Amino acid sequence: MIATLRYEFLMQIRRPIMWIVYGLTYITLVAVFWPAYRTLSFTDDGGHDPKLAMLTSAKLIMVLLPIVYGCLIADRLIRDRRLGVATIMDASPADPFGRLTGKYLGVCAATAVPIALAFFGRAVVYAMTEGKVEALAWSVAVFPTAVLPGLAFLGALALAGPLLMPPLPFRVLFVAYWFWGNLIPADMMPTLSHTIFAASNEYVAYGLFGQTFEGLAYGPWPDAALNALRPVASPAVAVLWMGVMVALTIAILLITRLHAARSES
Amino acid sequence: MKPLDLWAHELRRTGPAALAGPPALVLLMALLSMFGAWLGSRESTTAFMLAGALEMAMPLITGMAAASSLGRDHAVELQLTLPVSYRSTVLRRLAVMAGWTGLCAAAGSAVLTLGGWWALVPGAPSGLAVQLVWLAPALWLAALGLLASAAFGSAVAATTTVAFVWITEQVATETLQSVPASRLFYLFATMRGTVPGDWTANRVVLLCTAVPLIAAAWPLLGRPERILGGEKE
Repeated sequence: MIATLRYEFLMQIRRPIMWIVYGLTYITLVAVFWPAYRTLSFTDDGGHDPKLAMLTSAKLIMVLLPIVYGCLIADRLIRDRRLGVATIMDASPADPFGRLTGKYLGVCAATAVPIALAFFGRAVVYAMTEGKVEALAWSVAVFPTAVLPGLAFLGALALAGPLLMPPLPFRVLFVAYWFWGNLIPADMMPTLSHTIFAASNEYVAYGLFGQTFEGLAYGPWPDAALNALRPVASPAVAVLWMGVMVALTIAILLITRLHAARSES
Repeated sequence: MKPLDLWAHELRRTGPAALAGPPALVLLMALLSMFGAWLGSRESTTAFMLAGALEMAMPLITGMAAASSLGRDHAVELQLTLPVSYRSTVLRRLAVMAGWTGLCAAAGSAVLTLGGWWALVPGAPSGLAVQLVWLAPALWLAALGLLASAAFGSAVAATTTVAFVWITEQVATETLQSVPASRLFYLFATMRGTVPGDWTANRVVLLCTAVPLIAAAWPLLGRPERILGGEKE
């Protein structure tokens, strides 16, 4: 597992195309969210609270960059089959589930590195311009809780999805899923967005870090379908969301393993 | 090979995914148009979804298919030795793909016309101009996909670019529409609205700027080493 992890990590992180695409998309991200990304605030308070600024930074990054993350991961698992080396790998004494886990961890870690760089880079810039070193501490607290669980789930989804269909329709559906299931307002149509099943929501920000918006609780939307999946934000719900993401990740990986085991026999 | 055989061959080479996507979308649209009320969807919502499928989903499929159409051939080294340039092969394939998607999109817009849904879409044009609802963004995204795939030499990077542009335009509607320059390039001017009187200009600008995008891809496609080194899917 460790050997696969190391190899997949290096293979992905040395892909020039990954850095080029992330670079271009990061520039676009900064351009389209310019006033908010400069102050790290959606309101007029100037973004002087380091905790809220780091949460806003995480939120902005999680709007657009997961698309790049998912698309770049989508071809990794089927690559072995296309190159014709999958059967040779299967014949090796390495444990198949260990290889899958190693591949998952290595690929996801490498593809998440640019996102982490963007996030922590912004945190360092914020700490310097605002003169608040505690922003770095908040960024270390926010990234693993608000960003990583979502990325873990998306990584598993993008890795396993192309087993079911060719990469082209998978990417189209992934984009449609991201827009429908994470970005649109919950009252627009029945959607998973803002539920505990959404990879990008604000349960951690409101539940764990006590963010508030005009005194309103984050959770159920008026007149939205599937409100049963939108409990009122609290620390327990934030932890529940992380648990759901991890559980979905493990479930997808197990199904992937079962799928591979069935096609071997 | 007769020219017709060549075209038929390219039709098969576009792949089942690119061929099946647009008709599947039209089928979904027809089903929604017929059974939307039965499912409990309000009329305005159904009209919005139908027009959205045409202006948003159809261009996404076209753009993604164009972005992954390059370099998928087996033994591309052999093809590069033929008198026919690889460039014309790729453009022929793209033309087949775009023509097929266009046919399906026209059928999709017929679904809206037959059901009288256009009247319920605010800002929708009338007459033949309704075809511009899907034609302009689809062509523009396809041209972007071709350019990205020729520039990066990688289908992954090209499809990611198309996907990212699509999502960004959805998310940053207000920012992009606040400046006249980016408003004219905005892909979803029908569904997300635009400044009154700007719609036609927006469509014309999209159609016209698709041409330089393809022109920029032209010299890149003529360099075989880019195709040989690229990632396939």
